[in-house]
Amino acid sequence: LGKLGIEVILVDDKHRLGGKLVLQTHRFFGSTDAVYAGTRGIDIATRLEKEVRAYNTVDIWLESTALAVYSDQHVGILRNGDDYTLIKPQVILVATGAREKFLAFRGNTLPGVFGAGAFQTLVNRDLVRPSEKLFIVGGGNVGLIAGYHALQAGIGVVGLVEAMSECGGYQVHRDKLARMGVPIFTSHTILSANGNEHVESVTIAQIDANFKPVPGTEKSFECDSLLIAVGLDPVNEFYIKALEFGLPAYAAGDAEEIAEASAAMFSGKIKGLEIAKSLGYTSIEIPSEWYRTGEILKSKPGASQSQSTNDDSMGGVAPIIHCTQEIPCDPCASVCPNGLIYVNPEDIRKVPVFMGNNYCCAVCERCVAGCPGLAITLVDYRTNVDYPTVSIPYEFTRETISKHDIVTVTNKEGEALDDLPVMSIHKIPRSDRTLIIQVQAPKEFAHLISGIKVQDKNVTLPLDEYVDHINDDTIVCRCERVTAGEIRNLIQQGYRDINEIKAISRAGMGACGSKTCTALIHRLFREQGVPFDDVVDHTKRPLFVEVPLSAFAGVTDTQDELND
Amino acid sequence: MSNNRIVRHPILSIPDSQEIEFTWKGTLLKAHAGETIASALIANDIHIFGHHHRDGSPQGIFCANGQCAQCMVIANGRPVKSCMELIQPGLVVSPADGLPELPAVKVVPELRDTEEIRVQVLIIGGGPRVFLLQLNWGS
Repeated sequence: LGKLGIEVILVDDKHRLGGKLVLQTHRFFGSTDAVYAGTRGIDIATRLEKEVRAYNTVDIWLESTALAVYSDQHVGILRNGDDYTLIKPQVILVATGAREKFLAFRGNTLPGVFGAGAFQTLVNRDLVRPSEKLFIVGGGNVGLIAGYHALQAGIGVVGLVEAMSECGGYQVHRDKLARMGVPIFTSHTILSANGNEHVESVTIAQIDANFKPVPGTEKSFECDSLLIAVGLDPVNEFYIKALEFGLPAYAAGDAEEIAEASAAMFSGKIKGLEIAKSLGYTSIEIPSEWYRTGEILKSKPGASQSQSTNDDSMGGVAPIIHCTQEIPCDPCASVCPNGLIYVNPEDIRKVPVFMGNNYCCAVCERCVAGCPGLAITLVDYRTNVDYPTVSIPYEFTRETISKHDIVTVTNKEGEALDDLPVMSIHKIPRSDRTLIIQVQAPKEFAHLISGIKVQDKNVTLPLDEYVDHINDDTIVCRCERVTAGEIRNLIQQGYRDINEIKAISRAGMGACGSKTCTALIHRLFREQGVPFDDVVDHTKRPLFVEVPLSAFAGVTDTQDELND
Repeated sequence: MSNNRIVRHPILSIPDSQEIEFTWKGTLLKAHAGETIASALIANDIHIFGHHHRDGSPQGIFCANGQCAQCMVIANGRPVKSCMELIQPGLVVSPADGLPELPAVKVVPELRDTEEIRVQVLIIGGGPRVFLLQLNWGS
């Protein structure tokens, strides 16, 4: 839009641009050509911010929060915290991202229980450690990646529970975490967070096919924090209101559909062109491949193939690709200088294949250092056919490992294979902060080695006895402290209108504007067997955040008018 | 008081930060200029930011995104979301225990009209989706 000279006002409530990119320290998945795959999120943010600021028709308002879209097609903005402004745009683009879902369990509001976004903000943006021992709820990409970020920040990850029988996130993320020594409990749920003023332990249990906890399987772990990563909902209320009030509106990224950041970037590109066309600034047809690429980037992980247990490069040297699940990702194919790794460019979800024979690989290790999933090793049999050298990617500080250290090497899924001395630690030219560790391993399993355990197993040991938590403190509405019991009781009494439940219990009346509890209340209806058609949803009130009345009144300088 | 700052990281570089001072419950603490009140408190190992007015339950950081208001503290007499508000030198911060008292208004303040702006495109949200709008076109 800026490039075409279209006047744009971009509002964002944070202190800098980039959204959640500024929290992402890992290299991105997706397509190298289309969306900077292979580059770390933080670096993408910096690059893009610089570029967008070069366009002088794009006016950027930071620390400014959109409050509501009104029926006269004006949009209310709270600028710099207390300056209320109305904007009447010809077109609105809602790129507000997603909000995290919350979960009902006993002790769920204790300090120390937080969302994955909060955790990444504190650790990766602000460089503070809110926790020493973290437990994770949810095995999607968000939970898995947050676990990895925790380990990199020197925080112990005690374990991860996932209700389904498999983690929903990319297998490479799951495997990476398991290899580093984090136990992953699938078909498990959290029963309670325990502690007085702060989380001191967590209690989990196995669940049956109906997602009910199995008595006798309870386990407790000592931890000081609990990270909730159980899915995202689009922040789409501005978009819905704009459509309702006849303001031409577009939604992009998670605000439109929850997917990976790579997909979001690409959807922004398409929406931008659509908007420019609607304003008559260009007549370029949007190539149909763009829509296809957009769909590919959004895909959920597909089929997994079993990894070959043989190594046909025996005697020579070749990368071993421990990436066996179909996900949209292709940096490995673009980093090999000899083009020996092939990912079908028509469909980057296909699993990468090594095309070279034993003698083509230049042993540059770029694939090892460049795979965002840390899922490629290189096995070199040339100097010792019985004890080949294995190159393994490593993304922890240099101080944590030394030459001759004995490390536990694991297979792809994280099972220990052997304890071996470190032969060398190095960085390859142009590598982006990823270290490469080399070990020598017997030929029988050298090709199975996929990672190095980094976390001491004592961090992950359960307590001798599980901590029983009997308080009825499963909170549904955090702002007004309304329990699941109170709301269940109202549903059982026959209440079906969420507005009535709000009037009686205050659930949804608090500071957050019912952003957190709405989904949980819907869930309680489901749990009580009430069809959703019978439920009257709550009336959505405008104002995205709390605003001092003085801002609407246009008070010029609030500080001077106040008493001490 | 222990220090919860990350001083070494395999990926992130640790910037040189200007140290400033603020008070929490009357105690002088150190913070980094440019960080939020919440991060300054957590860096000082303070995790409980107040207690709820209904049942006295402890409150701390939850969304760190300006949405949930659970991290509210009282800063220079005003209730603020500590995850969104930046720390300032000499800021007097105290826990939000119960409902905060609203500051009294001494005189009728001077008011002004709300500014109204017309623009072609308004974008809400400055995350990854937005940037590529400006990029990649020319071709």
